[in-house]
Amino acid sequence: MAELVQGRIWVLGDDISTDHILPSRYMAEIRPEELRRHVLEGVARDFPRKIEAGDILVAGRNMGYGSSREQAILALKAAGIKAIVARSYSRIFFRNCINNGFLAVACPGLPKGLKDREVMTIDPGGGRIQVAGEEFSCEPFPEVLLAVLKHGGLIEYLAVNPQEYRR
Amino acid sequence: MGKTLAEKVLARAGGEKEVSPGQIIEAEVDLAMTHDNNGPVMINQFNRLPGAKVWNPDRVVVIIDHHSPATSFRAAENHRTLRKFAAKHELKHFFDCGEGVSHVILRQKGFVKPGMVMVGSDSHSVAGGALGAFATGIGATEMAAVLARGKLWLRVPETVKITLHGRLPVGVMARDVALFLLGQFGPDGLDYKAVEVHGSGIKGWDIEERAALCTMGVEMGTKAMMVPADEVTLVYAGVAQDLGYVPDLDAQYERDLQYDLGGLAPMVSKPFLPTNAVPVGEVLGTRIDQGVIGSCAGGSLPDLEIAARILEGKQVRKGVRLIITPSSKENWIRADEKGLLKILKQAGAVVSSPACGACGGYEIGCLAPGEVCISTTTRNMPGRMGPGGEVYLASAATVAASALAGEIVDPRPYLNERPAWVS
Ligand code: SF4
Repeated sequence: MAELVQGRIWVLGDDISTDHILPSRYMAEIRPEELRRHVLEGVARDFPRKIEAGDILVAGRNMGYGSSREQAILALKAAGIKAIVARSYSRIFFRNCINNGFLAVACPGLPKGLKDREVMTIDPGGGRIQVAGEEFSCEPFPEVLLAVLKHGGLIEYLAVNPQEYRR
Repeated sequence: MGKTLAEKVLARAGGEKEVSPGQIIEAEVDLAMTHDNNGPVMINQFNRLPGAKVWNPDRVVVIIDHHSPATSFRAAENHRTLRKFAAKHELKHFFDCGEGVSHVILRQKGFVKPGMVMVGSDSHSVAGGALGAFATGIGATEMAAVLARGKLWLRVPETVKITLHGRLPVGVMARDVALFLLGQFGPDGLDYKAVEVHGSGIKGWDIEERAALCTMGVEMGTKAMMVPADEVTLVYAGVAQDLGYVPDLDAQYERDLQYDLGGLAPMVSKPFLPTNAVPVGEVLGTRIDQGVIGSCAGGSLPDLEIAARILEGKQVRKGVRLIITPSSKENWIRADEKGLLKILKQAGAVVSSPACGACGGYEIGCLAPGEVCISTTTRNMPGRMGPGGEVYLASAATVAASALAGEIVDPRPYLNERPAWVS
């Protein structure tokens, strides 16, 4: 969690819905190797081929708008996307990211005009982002979320805290 | 200081005397729902919790609706996974193929009650707000945790009060009000907010109409969209009024907004966002290949009634496919008893069994690239009914009239005569 994350960015717009990230027709699919082949197909048909492991998505407002499908995040993870930085998130999508131990950082001051393939560095612990020679601060995580992120996801967190659930 | 309905419900569920916006609470869940679209992901996650048991098998409802009856081999396997899970954990409430859309079943079978905290692994779970519940969507992993724990953390949202005045003109429906409001706020205009809907405008609406409005609320980001319980709610839910079901008179709202329904026109949301709403006059003449009446926000009895009124004795335009999917078995049977299904079929509609149907382009009612559909479903993002297809969202009246014309039309002129069977 405290580690720096660095990667090439792909820049998306506002209101990228879960239908963009993983169109609903693939929803019966739950195998990662299949999901990755369709990731972001709703943005551009050739997106799945462009992405490389370690890449970072940069989005505008309301990232992950729409359906609650977690397959969208499973697909992003399966494709090797390491993190998302967005100006703001849709509620369920943000929770889904954290619950899956997937780094989603809110950075309201992120500038427009960032270019694909620029290199970004995220310092989640310090709440800072560096890109295009500039530094931006991001929103801190509430404590409940930090605990989940630190363990790599909600299930991972509960698995080591079995007093928290019924057995 | 007075509290809003969301604040009162969350205080009760969180075991707090009172709560305020921004506060994070652990809420006890009264009802949890999952379905075949993400139930299998949920089960994978649940099974990773060593020795986990379902916290309360009576409070979990599992429904097969998205790919129903199984639309592919993979869907069939997912359904089998759900059936096995429900049997293993002795879940009391399991609805198999053909029962209808989850959100509709939950209210029609009496699971949703005012004042509840209800979570569903589906964004349109906000539908439960039609009965005054704090109902919201969560993801599959979170649902796995809810099943094991019976609670989840929630941030208490700010509440926005929306008051609807006046009476809807003939041919303008609850659904048009929903699209109108989406257009007012945009896709994240009410993100993270609880919305309370008040006013003479909705007093006369039945629960299905209220649900058509609340269900669509999530398209502008609402965390919960609640109609405080009134006489209609109490009769429907079979409960007595309780102070916990209504906001305090001096509740503090983040915003207090008023709308008059009297002058509203039928609304259409253009591709590719549900919030791209315009009065129908702005899209007249748009050629269509398909019409769809169905989904959790558009396949109710009032929807089927108005469609039948428009289609009776007429024929769907040659070259246009009209697909009608009642949103529940109950709606299907009641529409059949009233003779509506016969009218719809004779007009050339394909009536399919109650499920999500074409809403998500799940192997039924798909569009080819370049094809255009007008639909009462919930979403019109790119690829929703097939790559390259375009979806316009509208009311059942607008869809039915447009199916006759072969292009988008204003339904109001089609509703002038009153057929004999309309009471
Ligand atoms: S009808 Fe559409 S919006 Fe409603 S639950 Fe089914 S897929 Fe989701």
